Amino acid sequence: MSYHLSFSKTLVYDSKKKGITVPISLKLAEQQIFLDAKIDTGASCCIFERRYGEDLGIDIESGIPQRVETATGIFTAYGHDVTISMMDYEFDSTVYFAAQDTFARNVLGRVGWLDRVKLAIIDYDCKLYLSSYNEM
Amino acid sequence: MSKRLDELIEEAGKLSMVEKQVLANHLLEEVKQVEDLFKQKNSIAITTKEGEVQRRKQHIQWVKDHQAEYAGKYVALNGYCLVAEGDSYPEVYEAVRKIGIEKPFITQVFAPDSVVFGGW
Repeated sequence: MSYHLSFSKTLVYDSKKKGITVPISLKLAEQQIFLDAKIDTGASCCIFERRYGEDLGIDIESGIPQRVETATGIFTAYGHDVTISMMDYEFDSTVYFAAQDTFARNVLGRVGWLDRVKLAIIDYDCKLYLSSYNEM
Repeated sequence: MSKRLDELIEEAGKLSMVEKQVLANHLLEEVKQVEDLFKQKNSIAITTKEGEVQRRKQHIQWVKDHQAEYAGKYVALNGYCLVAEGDSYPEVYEAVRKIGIEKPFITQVFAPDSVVFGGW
């Protein structure tokens, strides 16, 4: 048996960068910042560096407090309602900003992004296929 | 909840006509107040940037206030109002789409004091 999926957009990512790194933007009101984020299907949610939240004018600690576990330990992050944009797809999502400014990773995880897209990755070709769940 | 509702309806059936009328008016007034509140919250102008920021803050405040109650659920919010709830994003998105909200805020609520995985 074979399965067929269709997608609206495709992106070739840079194999020289660590992980699967894609360009995104975070938007709040008139502020928009552009950054690279890594797609991580193991991450429960979308987590970003504190400085990006501050650049958007967010009072980080006013968000939803959330403890986050990684392979190296546990840290605290705060959830905020922000627009995540990638390849013309925009979602108003809860994204988490790390409390510590030493946290230097930006991750697209399940809640807020993966749960609302259809995604396929052919790492052999460094190629990513994407559609919004809502358009299919 | 439906059992409770059945009980209330049965109880209400025992009231006199005048009492039923008073109860009906009371309930209608309560429904109207909720509808007015909903309209008022929705009317926060998304067109103004301050309105948008305010609305987003209300979403976050709602989640903070209801984390235990809705832990694990997906919720759709409009300001401080719950619009729909369900077990998955598609389920909630469909419910919201039927109401006619174009760009809903949908999120999964994590349990308070939970530890989520942040990836590798």
